[in-house]
Amino acid sequence: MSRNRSHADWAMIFHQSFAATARRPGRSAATAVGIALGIAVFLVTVGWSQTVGSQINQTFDELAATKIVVNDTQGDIAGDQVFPTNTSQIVAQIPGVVAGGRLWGGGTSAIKTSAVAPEVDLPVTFVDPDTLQAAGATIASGRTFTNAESDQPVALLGKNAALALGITTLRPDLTVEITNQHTRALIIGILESAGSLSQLDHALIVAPNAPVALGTIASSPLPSDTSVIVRTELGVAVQVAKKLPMALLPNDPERLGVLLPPEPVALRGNVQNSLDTLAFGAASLSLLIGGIGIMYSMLNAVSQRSGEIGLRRSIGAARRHIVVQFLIEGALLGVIGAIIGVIAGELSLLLLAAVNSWNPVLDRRYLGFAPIVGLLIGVLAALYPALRAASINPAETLRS
Amino acid sequence: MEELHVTPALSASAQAPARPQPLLSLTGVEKIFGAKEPFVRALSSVDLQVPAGSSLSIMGRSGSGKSTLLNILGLLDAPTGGSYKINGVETTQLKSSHLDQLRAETFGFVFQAFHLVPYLTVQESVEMGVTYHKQPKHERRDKAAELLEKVGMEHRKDALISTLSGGEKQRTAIARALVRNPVVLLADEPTGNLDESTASDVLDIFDSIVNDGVSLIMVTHDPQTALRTHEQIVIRDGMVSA
Repeated sequence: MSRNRSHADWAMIFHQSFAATARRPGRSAATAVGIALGIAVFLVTVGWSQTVGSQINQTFDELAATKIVVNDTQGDIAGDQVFPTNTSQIVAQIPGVVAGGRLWGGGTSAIKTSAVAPEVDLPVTFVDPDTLQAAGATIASGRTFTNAESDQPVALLGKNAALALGITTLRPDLTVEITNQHTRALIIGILESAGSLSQLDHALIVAPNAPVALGTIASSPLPSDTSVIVRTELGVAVQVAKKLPMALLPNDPERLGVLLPPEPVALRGNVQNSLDTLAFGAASLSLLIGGIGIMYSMLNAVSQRSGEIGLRRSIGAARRHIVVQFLIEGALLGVIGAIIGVIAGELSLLLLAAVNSWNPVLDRRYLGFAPIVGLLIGVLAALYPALRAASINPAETLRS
Repeated sequence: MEELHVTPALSASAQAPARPQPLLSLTGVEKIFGAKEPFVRALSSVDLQVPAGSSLSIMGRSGSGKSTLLNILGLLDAPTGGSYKINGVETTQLKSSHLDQLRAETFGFVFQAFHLVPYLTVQESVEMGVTYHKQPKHERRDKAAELLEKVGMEHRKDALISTLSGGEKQRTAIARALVRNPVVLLADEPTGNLDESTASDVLDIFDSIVNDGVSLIMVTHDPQTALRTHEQIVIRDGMVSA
């Protein structure tokens, strides 16, 4: 008996696999739908994450890029020696500054209003009029004080301070009395939000030069923990931050500390990482489910095509040929499913973004990799069915 | 991997009636199904010699073991006892890969249920017979065309299998079985799903194939069909009784 080598015609095997996929579109579509859904969900999830992340970045960037806080790092001299009365005007002359002003605390005092009897302990905070603008504060009722009123006994209430005092509506003659100081101020407004200075929500906010008019709480020098709050236009905070010390304290600029809030940057990164992890987790799970869907569909196909498998064995197919045949079909279904999934995912993402009036963001590399991912999942999902097919006893399948 | 190759002496055109060694030889073949009791004994002590170029019918009732015998002859199943030689080579000792190749080179199969692949055309179905034995495309096409003409299916070569009648399917299956020039054609109830006229046409094709030198072993339960072959045997309870 002589021996030689016979060769399978792989072009024919591929052609037959292609025919098995292309000429039974209904069955192929039903099998590929798992991958299609998986890829679509993957792209929508990742794209949504990137779109949301982009929005968060924009928000954080705005905060990070526009808020500057200046402090006296040594604290051994009075605040008004470091930050003079005309601080707002000095700061406003720096190009790119929207507004800026001083802020210092006056301690906690017992406060009562002219409207209700109970006293409430509230922090008293002094701010320049421009400080509120720099913080992005908004008024719920009344108005904020002007530069012309800086030396008047006028004050604002933070929204929580107003609630604590039982004030729901602003009357024109509403005054507050700092009882232990025997001083009184006219309330001209209640804040809706204190913007970036959230501590003001709980405070009695007094005009900067009012201490003189307020009598005994009038204090000079200012406390050493006085700070300056500056808001800039987008994209110029770093440049403004560099100029602030020299503008505010030209004789000793080094003693001033300038803070560009680092927290939002770190928080942005953390939030983005969390979103990415969530997105990839959900997306991977959807791909896994898609792969399992293909596997079960192909197991069903193996059962239905057992006669064909037996026939192939009868005409000389080795087990490896059967395995490869089903792997090719799995790969084709995976690629087809991925292409359908890319189209569906992209359209879904566009729709979702349009509904929310956001700009859709999706790394284009995902679109390019999708067919490769589909192919790999298709092959992996087909592996077990292929091995099952190869183990079929041809005699049993051909008997029927 | 080394693979078996059927010797030229086994080719259809070279077979000689006077050759002393039978083409197929079964001695004391047994087939028992089941890994543990109760076992099912499908074949018992089957002795059978099939000369090259002959035609043989295997008859018997349903469940008598005739299809099991055909599967063992075609190397689709292995006996659990006894000896099975093809042209003197003991097949029960061969590895699976060698059996795959020996099966493909020696046998063509025709089934009652046709076992055609529904998503292929007639032409592709015939060419499928050489999927695992690569041939130049033009040779494959010429051979398929020749066989389709022989079985009267050349006019339907581009039709999908799912559109064919039963007779057309069986003609296509016969062409596919012959595309690799098998030494032996094994047919399991080949006319079982066909009407009388169509069955007669198929048997005429078998006669032509045997006249070309191909051995034919056919399982049938129809005595008239069995009489179309040179020899007939009957299986009863897994044993050759006539």
